[in-house]
Amino acid sequence: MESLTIPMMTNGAMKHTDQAPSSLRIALLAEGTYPYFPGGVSVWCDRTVRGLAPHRFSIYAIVANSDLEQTWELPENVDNLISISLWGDGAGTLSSVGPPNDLNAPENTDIVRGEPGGEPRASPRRRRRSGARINLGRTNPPAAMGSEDADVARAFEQLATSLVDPDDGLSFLDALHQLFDLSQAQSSAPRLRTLSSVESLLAAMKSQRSRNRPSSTSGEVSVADALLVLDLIDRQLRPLFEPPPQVDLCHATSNGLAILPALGAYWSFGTPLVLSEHGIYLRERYLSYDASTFTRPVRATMLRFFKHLSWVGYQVAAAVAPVCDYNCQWLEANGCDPEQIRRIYNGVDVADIGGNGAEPEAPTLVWMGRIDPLKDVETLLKTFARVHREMPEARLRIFGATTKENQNYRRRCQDLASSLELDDSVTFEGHTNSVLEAYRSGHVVLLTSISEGFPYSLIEAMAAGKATVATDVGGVREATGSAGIVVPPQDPERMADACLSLLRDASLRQIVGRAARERILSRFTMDESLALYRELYREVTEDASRAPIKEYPGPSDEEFMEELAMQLIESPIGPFMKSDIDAKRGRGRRVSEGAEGLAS
Amino acid sequence: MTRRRPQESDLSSSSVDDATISEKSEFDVPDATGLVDWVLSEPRLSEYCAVAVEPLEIAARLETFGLSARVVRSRFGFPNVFAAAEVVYDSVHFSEGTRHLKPGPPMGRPVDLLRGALYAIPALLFSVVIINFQLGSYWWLLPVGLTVSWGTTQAFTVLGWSLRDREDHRSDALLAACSVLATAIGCFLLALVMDAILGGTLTTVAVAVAIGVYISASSVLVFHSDELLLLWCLMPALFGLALTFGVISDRTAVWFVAASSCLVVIAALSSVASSRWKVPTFPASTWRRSAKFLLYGVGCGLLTSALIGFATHGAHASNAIAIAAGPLLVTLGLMEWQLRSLRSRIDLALRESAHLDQFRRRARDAMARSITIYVGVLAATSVAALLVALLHNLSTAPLLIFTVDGIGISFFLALIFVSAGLIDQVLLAWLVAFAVLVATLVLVRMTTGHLAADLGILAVLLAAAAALVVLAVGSREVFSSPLTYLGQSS
Repeated sequence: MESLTIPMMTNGAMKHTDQAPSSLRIALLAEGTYPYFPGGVSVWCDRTVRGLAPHRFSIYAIVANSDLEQTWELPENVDNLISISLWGDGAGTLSSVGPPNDLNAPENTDIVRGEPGGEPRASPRRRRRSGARINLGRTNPPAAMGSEDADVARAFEQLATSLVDPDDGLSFLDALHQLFDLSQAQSSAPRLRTLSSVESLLAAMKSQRSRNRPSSTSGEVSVADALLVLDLIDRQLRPLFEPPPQVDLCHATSNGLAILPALGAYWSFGTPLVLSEHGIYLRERYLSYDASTFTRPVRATMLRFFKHLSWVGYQVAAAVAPVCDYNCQWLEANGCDPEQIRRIYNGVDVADIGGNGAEPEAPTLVWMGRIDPLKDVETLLKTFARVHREMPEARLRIFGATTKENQNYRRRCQDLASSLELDDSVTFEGHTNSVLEAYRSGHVVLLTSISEGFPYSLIEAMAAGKATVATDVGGVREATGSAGIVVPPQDPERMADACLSLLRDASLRQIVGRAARERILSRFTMDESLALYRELYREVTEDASRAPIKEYPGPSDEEFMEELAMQLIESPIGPFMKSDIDAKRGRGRRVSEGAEGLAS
Repeated sequence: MTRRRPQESDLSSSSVDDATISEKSEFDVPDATGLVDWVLSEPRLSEYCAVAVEPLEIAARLETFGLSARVVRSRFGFPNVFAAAEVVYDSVHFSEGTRHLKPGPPMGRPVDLLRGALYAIPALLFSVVIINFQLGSYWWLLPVGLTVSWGTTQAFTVLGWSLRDREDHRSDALLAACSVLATAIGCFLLALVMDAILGGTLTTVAVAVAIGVYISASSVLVFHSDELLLLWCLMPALFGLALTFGVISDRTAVWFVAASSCLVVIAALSSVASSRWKVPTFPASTWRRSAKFLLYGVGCGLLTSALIGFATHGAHASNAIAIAAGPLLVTLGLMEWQLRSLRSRIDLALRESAHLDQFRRRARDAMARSITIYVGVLAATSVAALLVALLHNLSTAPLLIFTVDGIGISFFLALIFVSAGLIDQVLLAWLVAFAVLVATLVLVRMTTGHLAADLGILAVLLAAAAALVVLAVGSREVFSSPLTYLGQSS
């Protein structure tokens, strides 16, 4: 008889066993990626879902607009696709695509898909866990308030106030929980677009604290700023107010908005959450919330919103799975417990990728990825301009789609190519279905990103036996090791030097390419990655069936702490935890005293 | 200043195990000065750091400029990039940075008056056609074309904005063609009905369809901001009308009008032939919104049609009707001007007000200013029209002028509501207006036994007044609430 092995941690990486898991119902939560957009995360979603059969998946896609065309064909083991749009005419629409599935089975008809303001939907069946489970995020019991609007106003005011302090994620979490409960009680999203919300935001934004930059946000906040923030927050919280997934496990493909449906599932049914971090969500928000397009108060408030939201994700997740070691420091910097971290590298399906083929005649550089500012195509073009000066016959082929949001960026890149007089030697090839052929069409494959997780375009090129030059971001060094050249980001000169050295030396290219392929085959295979996820799922779902699954410091309510302590003492593990419980009692008391002191 | 990148040794490739960051720093104390100097030597990075809202943002930026955890440790002696970011955050002077915010809506300009003239010209053209084909007795001609096209153009404009929001330019041509086609079919069917009930000929049906198609096509051009092209298309008609003063006959001028109409339709549909088509899809919410705008347009058309119907049935000389319509037609451009100015002032108030009370005050002032200017000019032109009517002994003109003014003001208020996204309130106002109209007509019929034209016009005036009251009640609160503009702030 095969024994069940609990995954073991070694240096943050999880070792796996070969035992086949039973089938789970999993909600895969994605923001702005699968199955509507190309890119590494979508590739990862597709391969992971396909590879993790017989588990059954429901895809929750949080997207900007409802009129998107699906670019990925859903695998057999996807039961349905639920799209939650935040913007455009169909904002808030919750549409379901795909064959009937378990979620629509009579026993699960609680989740009814519809549009806000449409037919009232039934409340999801609650199966809150009892016992010693600590209900994350609810630090204050709901008070007996007046109307529902007053409850919503109070909860939103708490949310707005939490944005004043960079470290007040707990109040933020509590406010989210209150708003979620109100949405469940009302069977509709709470009405956040009120005058009291505007006033709360105005007050919060004016008193926002930024260390050492006292004048940075005070005294310059306008009504328009508050309105814009309210609009953004109201839209971005919509996934929280949709019927929560009724599944065995939620798996968010990133932090941020993708965790919102999982929060609902956690609070309603105790569903555990696995959180994968590719690029770091918060880091990418910092890079994309450009100071040139938002006023400072709006930026400061929204970035704090994302900071708190990311923090909440780390607190609620049963396990956080970054795709490289480098990014772990970002998780810990924003409050993730190192014990929760299970690093799982992305893997390549080596069966699909053969070794290096024949090289083209003209010296050719290949770049693969989304045309996106985070991928820094401008540095790529500047790099190639220098290569082209030294080697006029050189060519650059840029493969990858451009989303609607990035059409302006693409035009900017094309203009840059023209201004560098590269029109004849650079081609924007667009999306390609044959990734391997694309890699093989060049001598060297480049990656110029300024932020990354563990990029597929790099490990696939390496698996194809190509020599690579990549920027030193995220997990790039971990991927290449010594089997590729790594240069600083945004440094076209260094990158061009590396390209020229590889283009000029065929034997060096071969040595590097061969080493790269061997490295990928030995360390970063899809099978390895999938096995680790299977183990993680099993670990997390097994843990979820045992209470308590998680403890969390923070409740300021002394009675709540006492109640918790009593529950723990009465549990079988009580005698072994006496010192911990005493410490918690003390902490709860100190927090309460502190709060009283502050109030007085 | 020459940019000094971190040393080669810091950035060379390393094995995967190196990335776990375990090497020991050679520094006892981090080289904060060196780090800050390095940051300041890189203009873009120092700008990012100056506008950063918190140290974590700086950490993200440092990484994108090559200062990874390994580099800040080995080169500057910091334990990690976050510690380095803290130092930079405290050392680099704060700056607001350069913002390229989306400009607010522009103020209205005198050129908007010309745009109003473009809207008014068709009234002149249709009159020439109707008079020359001796179709004056078929009063329903203009109402059919006007009501159907007003409704369809509003509905298709909503769909067009939806496409524009998502930058779907491939569906535009198809939508324009559908708009014109739907108008033509609608006009044709309604004209057939009217023809059967009230009498007419094949020509009346054709002219009703032509009127609708022209309005629809010109709306397509206006939607695409091709007003200049529309003006060029109208040149033959204007030229023909000018020639009627002693050069050509009125009947010949009709051909110039027909040529202009054809040009407008061709210009509106020109993209159909050249573009790749894509069938657009819209969510249910857009269809619902489009349907509401259809009702809004039909409401505007019906109210105007009711007035046309009673005016042409009364003892009113055609001169009286023309004089009464004058103030409204003349101030169409002013309506556009004041609407744009109001939107601009509200946007400015949102951006510049630090408190809700301050915003409310400014919003009310802006609202009062726009309405006062429009009503004031309309009243002034109406007084002038009244004087002209009295000079010509057109005793029935005053009632017509009052009614047209009532409709004009209610249309202006409705336009403001619609542009603020408050379509439901406008539909409610139209509902009340038509209830008042029907109730008044029934009352008149029951009291007098027939429907006198003057009393019919009075009923239209009461209906317009009812719509005005509905729109006016609460408008002060609605327009001074920032929530009305939620989603419109930049």
